[in-house]
Amino acid sequence: MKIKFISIVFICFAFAACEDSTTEEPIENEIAIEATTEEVDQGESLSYMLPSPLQIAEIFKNSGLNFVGDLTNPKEKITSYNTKYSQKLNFGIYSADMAYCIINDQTQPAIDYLHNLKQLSEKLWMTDIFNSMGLSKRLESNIGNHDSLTIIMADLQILLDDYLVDNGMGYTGPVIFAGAWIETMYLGAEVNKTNSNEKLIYRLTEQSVVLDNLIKALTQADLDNDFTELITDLKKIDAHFDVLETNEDGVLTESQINDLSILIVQVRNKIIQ
Amino acid sequence: MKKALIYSSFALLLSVSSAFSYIEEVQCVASELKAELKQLLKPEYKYDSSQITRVSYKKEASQSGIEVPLFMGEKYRFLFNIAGLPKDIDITIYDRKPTSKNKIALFSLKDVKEEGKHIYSFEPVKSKKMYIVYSIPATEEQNLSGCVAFLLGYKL
Repeated sequence: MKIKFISIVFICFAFAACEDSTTEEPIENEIAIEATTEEVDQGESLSYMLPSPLQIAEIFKNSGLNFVGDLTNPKEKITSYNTKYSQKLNFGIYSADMAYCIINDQTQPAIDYLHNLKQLSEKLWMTDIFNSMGLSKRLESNIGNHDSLTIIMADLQILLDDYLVDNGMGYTGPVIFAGAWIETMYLGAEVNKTNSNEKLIYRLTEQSVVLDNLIKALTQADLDNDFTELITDLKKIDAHFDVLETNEDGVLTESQINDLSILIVQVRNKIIQ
Repeated sequence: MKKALIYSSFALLLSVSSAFSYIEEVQCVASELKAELKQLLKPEYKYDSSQITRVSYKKEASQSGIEVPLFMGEKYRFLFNIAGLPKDIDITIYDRKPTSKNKIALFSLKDVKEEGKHIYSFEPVKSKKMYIVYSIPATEEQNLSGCVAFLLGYKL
């Protein structure tokens, strides 16, 4: 498993360089079709997918992310987010907090965060997302039903993605995701401090692959240099993963995770202040 | 003269209306294309993310790509809806970046394409970062464009 991870990390780093020098054997059990198409020019339209925050939270949960009270961003802080930029980032922060509550069966805080998301969506002119699916009622009528709640959260994600595309706001997606990613990493690293385990450390390390895509997606979306500071902060976190090149098993050590956590907290504090 | 005017007006009207109906035919309604794909996630897979790619056919063949990060050990379903395309393209999924000499094509639309079918799926055996490449053929037709919807589902 760890060897596989080294490959992924290596590919991630190699992607930053001009030439890939891996000589990994073809994947077994998959039909290997000879590549005959022309290569995609690096500069040609290449886009970067970002996973759903819910999926990251669920993977963390399966690796030991239990519920620790008072870690999430207080819902009352919503009143201090007055710029569109901070509203987008904190939409992501609260989305991650909602996911964290849902996967840990904390329904009431999840509903509170949903109300926050609704308020922020109104400020960001994305009201239709919440009106179209009767989210609050669905959440309240599914209290305690873990599976239904995760489906509702997944529905929210697809509605958000559709809305951003349909309204020419695709550049907003990576900013919202940045907030969600920082918060999920923060929750993972903090829970790991109280209940450290190898699986969670492995999953936290694996996020370097997502961070790589996030930085590229944000850079593409940063046409007016509005996200420069955020990108710089994320690059600092990304640089922290460079130690993986020298780590024997390709996974961050306990102390490296703690150092990563310090960086994550710094960026998070800037966002939620 | 009067007849000629009527005929030419009629011809003009006909060509304008057919042009509009053509535009409508290839119009991309992202949410509709994705809604069809979302149904194919059920019951085991959950929505992860999606991407609508606008395709413009040019005089020269062109390509565009998507980098897809996948988490180790998790199951994924790739779904494509090509109903928004006025002309075929090829879709290839590679295990490494498209510029890599060691890349392997894990899926190619041209190998599974069926007449009249507009939805295709792929489930990787191993999960690692993958690269989707859309290869758009050259055309002499002007202003030809469309879109392809990609939706990713996951199962934990």
